[in-house]
Amino acid sequence: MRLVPRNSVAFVLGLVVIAACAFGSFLTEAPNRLTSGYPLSLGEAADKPLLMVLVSCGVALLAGSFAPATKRNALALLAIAMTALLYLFFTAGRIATTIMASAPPATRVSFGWAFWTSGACLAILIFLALQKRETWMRLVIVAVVAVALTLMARAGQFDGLSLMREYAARQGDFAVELTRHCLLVLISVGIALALGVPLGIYVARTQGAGKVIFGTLNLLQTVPSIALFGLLIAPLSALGLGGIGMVPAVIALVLYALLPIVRNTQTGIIGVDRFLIDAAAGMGMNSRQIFWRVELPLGMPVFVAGLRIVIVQTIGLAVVAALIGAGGLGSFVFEGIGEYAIDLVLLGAIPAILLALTADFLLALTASLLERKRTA
Amino acid sequence: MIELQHVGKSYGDKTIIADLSFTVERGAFCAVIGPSGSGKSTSLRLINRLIDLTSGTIRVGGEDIMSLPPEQLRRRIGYAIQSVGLFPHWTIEDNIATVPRLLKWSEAKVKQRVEELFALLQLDPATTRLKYPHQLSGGQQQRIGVARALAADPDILLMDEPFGALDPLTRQSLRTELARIHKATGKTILLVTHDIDEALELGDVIAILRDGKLVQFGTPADILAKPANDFVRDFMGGASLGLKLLSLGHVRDHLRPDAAEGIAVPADAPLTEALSQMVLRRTDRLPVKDTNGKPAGSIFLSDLVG
Repeated sequence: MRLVPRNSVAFVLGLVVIAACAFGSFLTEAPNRLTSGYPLSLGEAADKPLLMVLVSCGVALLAGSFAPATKRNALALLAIAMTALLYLFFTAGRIATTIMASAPPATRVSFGWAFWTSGACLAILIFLALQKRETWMRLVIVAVVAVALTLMARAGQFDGLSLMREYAARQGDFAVELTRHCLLVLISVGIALALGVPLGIYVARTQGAGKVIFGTLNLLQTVPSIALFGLLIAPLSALGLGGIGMVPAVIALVLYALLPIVRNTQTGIIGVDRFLIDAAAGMGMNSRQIFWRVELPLGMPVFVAGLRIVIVQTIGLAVVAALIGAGGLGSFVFEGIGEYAIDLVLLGAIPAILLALTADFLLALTASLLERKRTA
Repeated sequence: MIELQHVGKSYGDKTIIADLSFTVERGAFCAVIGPSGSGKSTSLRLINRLIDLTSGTIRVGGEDIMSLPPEQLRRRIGYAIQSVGLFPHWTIEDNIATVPRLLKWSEAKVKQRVEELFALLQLDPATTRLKYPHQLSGGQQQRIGVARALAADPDILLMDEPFGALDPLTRQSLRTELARIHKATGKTILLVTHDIDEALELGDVIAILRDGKLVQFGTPADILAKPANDFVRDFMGGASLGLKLLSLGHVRDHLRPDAAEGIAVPADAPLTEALSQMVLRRTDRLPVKDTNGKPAGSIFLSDLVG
């Protein structure tokens, strides 16, 4: 075995995971949901078998980072990282359940920084390993992790954790706000597409139109989201549309979504080779046929890349929209901030992040399927 | 038939084509040559209205091109370009079927036509039909480009340096193939090229352009024998003009019944090949064989200049 690890990223991340789990605060225990808890390291909280499995995962990661970079070793590393990540969740749930069994019911067990750090390191490892894999493999791995976590949650493995207790208390609200959040994003992106795609086509076809339109859209993009939401209140109230609620939120989200949509539509169309347009025209396609049959399909990958940016961005911005009464996952975040109940903030933030990741992942899959047909 | 009458094209003060007139008879193969910037591609694109002319008239099959909507006109004219322009996201079959589908042919008719074209171009439909363009070699792509131009069975084919980007060997074989297709289909073809030998080999008539003006128009033999001016003489080969002229003739047209010694040259070889063999073998006469390899007589050095 060489003394220098071949996979230095895996080595460093593995070290961080081990160090965090060995010395860091894995969970925190607080007497109630509003006070900050005191740290619990894995050494104090976990029983021997739990600890052993986690330690062996860490050691395996370190050992794996010294192995030659063959496909089999890479897959083994991926499997170890996945096991470790799932086991991290399992352990956290298990410890929380044990603590709650003997603690007063108001007690809250939350994730500590060591949990977040090692979880993030493992997620990065998995993500890096997946980048080199085929599309179907990425889909399978992500599905396995998702299903495993869902099954554990269903089985009540996480019921002792504060986050799940916040969820249990707000179950009805949660479904409503999640739906509302999705609706907010879908409506905004839908409207932005309906406006932005024709605008992008127009800009691509018209000399000099880009300057004015991109100038305006760039300016809009620089306005901080909270300011834009605020700025819309007065004019909309004057129009009788109401300054708060869904309407101003959708308008603001649409304005932010326009720039990436218009820009990527334009880039996609302009990026199609000149001689293909020439051939299409020379064979007698009219401009509408050239658009639908040549420019649109060939510009699609660039367009989908833009859509990815837009959807992820809108899911994030829609959290802020809760400030002006649009509802959505942001309402948990802001309520949590107001009460200084961090786990309530997380109840809004984590699903928003997961939503963004899922949408991004699905669109990336679509893009790679589109790309595969014509790798010239 | 393609008729250009006093055709002009200018962008503002800049004249690209000035007073261009010539006629390509039905079924003829016309090669348009000239140095770069002479307006040869532009003249081609004026015909299918990819560029609109500034003055003059162009008639295709007797009809003024301005009397038809450009899309309809273009669907009646085959068009092949240098960069091939096959759509990368469509299969070979779909690429070939482009114009027939624009003309809303029934799928059965389209399928049948695609089959015919595969046969005409001697391509194997089983291995190429469902492939994507990037899976084929440059030469194969260019053949598909030609098949696509022929798909709706147009009377006229416009080709803009279709073999420009290919290696010499592939070029030569496609040239031979194009000559065969021209003979088999009887299309009127207008081919833009900057390659003199290509023009001489393929063209029934040649139009030489310079600075947007027609310098000379005529059969290859005419142009080589009587170049209109020094520019044409130099452009067509200068000192080797005689050899180019010789390459237009065939051994079969200069046969003598006399016998000769040595390895025979084929009767359908160009005269340059006979001359080359005479020089190599240091002789003034060669035996000739017909296409079956049977003795067909002989050819003498003195006949080459006669």
